[in-house]
Amino acid sequence: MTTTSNSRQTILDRLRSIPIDAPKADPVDRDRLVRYADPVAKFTEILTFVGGAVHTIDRPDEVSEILEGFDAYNNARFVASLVPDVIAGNFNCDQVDDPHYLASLDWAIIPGEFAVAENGAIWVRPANMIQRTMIFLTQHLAILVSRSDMAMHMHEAYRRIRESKHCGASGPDFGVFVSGPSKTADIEQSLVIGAHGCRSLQVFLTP
Amino acid sequence: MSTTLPLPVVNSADGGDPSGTPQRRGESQLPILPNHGSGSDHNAPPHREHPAMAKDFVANVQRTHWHDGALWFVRSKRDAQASAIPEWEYLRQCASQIKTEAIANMPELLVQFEANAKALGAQVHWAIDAEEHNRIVYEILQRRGIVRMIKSKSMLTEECHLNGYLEERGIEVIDTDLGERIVQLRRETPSHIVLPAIHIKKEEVGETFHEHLGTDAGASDPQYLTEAARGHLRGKFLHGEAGLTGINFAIAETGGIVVCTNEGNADLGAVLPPIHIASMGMEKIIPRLDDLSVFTRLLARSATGQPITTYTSHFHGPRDPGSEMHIIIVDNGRTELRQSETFRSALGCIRCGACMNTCPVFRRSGGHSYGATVPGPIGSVLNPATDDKKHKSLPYACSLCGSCTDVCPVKIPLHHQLLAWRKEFGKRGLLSIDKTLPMRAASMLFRSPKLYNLAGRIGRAAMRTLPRAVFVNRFNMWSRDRELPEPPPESFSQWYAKNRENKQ
Repeated sequence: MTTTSNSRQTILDRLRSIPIDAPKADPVDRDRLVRYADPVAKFTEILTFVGGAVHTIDRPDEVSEILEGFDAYNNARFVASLVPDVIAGNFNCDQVDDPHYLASLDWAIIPGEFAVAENGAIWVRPANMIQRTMIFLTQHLAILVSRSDMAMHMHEAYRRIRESKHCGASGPDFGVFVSGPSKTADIEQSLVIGAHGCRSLQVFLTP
Repeated sequence: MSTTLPLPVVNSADGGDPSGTPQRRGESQLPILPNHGSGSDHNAPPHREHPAMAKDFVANVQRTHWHDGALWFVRSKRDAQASAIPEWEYLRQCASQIKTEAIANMPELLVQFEANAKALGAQVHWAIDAEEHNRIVYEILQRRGIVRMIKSKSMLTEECHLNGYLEERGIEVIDTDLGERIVQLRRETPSHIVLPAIHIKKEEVGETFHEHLGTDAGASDPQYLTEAARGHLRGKFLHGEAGLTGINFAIAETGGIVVCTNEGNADLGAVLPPIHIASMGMEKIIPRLDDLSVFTRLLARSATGQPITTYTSHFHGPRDPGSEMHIIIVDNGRTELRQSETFRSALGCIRCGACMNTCPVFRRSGGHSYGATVPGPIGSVLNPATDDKKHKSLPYACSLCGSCTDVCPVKIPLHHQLLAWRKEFGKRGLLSIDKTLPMRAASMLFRSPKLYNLAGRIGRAAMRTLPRAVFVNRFNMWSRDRELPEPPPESFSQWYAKNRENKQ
């Protein structure tokens, strides 16, 4: 598209026609940031507030015990699991090459990288397009994340992302902070859980 | 699983916004670019000024109060979240600094972003105006023979009138954000950048869905209606051939983009089809990955009073080697806005909508009364830059109370900029005689103490003796819905002379 390359130059010329001086922003001063005495409690409080459910567990077996308490889990036809040691699942994502096949997925059980205390978010980094689709297309989502991996706030979260070389540092990738089930309040500000993504979110905080 | 609670939430995934062509300080009569909109906007009514449009809205008193209350509720939620973060003011300061740096270094940052995005496999396009943006989108679709596109919230594409442009060329565009889908089905435009359907009552949504989605007649339960939309849009997601999203942040350092939503629609639109188009106004650029820590803490808290949006998605390159990711960087008047020292900082806007939720004028007059894609205080600063004649009433839709400036997460001095526009309009000779003549008279009056005292005396006497109809009539707009105060028996100077001066 030749017009685009011309436009690129025109836009850059316009931008450069007036030099603007501004100092580089100071790095955020860590000493001025909130610290929670009990980050796990804070995480639980916030995620519950935004409609998620938090289960603090000590044994892997507890995941299936707790899930079996939900009708939506017991009645599920298709369960995909990316933590096969904990939940076997009955839907093998590795055999699927088109994300549209995930349309009838009822439950997805996935691992999270780490959690963030201040806002109840979990950093999730699906390895491929199918795993990525799963997170958003499944009716119900369960995430396992270690409670020893709790970032205090987003500043710490992005430091971890940087150190782990996520976000483009080792090639194309996708990562998402998930905080609660999908929701909308677009009709008269009434909160409805279950917009386009998952209808419920179960978070298991493992040791 | 769904519950209906009276809690506001939002959907702040968006990428767009407007801006424009103001001039350097002190200069007047610079040429103004023609309206940047390109795709035909069939629904656009003939343009009217803010007071005329607001009049329609406030005619329904009950609805005005309902609208006011709904937005104040969101503002209260924002306050609760802001006060829960001890370093809130410090974060605003950091955000302001980062945006100032980003606006200053915009050309270098955009080039860095482009190089990094390309290295990850994305294709980067540059569009000078709305027309070119729309053409680029169309060409991407046309090359693959695509006729169905799903789109998540993007105020930029509203600004460019992309939907109309594509529909004229035979492409079906489905807005997937619930609020945007509602206004799309009703053939309206969003009235708020974060809460597009805030002006619509649930009964009206029920009627729209009954007509288009076949829901039960008379149904108005938000949970039932949302469930119907979920089912309807799942089908659209699965059949979409390309997905377009907005961009909340573009990271120069990594070449990645971040999109924030609550519904999950942007992610479904980006991952299901093999083509992901992401449109951004050039001011979405931020220098570093770490800068996101500041903005992700401020955005949703300011927008809807949530600690963070449900999904904060970081896209770095296409979903897989067989897919395409296109990023379109759009100017559409932003470079001109950046040249103005007075209005430049408005490019720092992260489109949270907090200034709208707090604005006493917006809450009572509705977003459509602004006649622009971005309404409210920030819209009243941005829009006159693109078309000063069309939008000259907007900086007056403001009491200069300064609440917008207080809540802005990036500390844009909004009410100062609104005042600056009024001065600018004066210089450009855009003010009507009912504004200039009284101002000239007032200026004379305030410069002469003698004249001032005389006018006061005449005024007080006149108000006491002349019939009420002389003051309260259809020509005096200040007496509409207002009663004049009782004239005081004496002026303050007279009172002061009598009661204080001699007693000291």
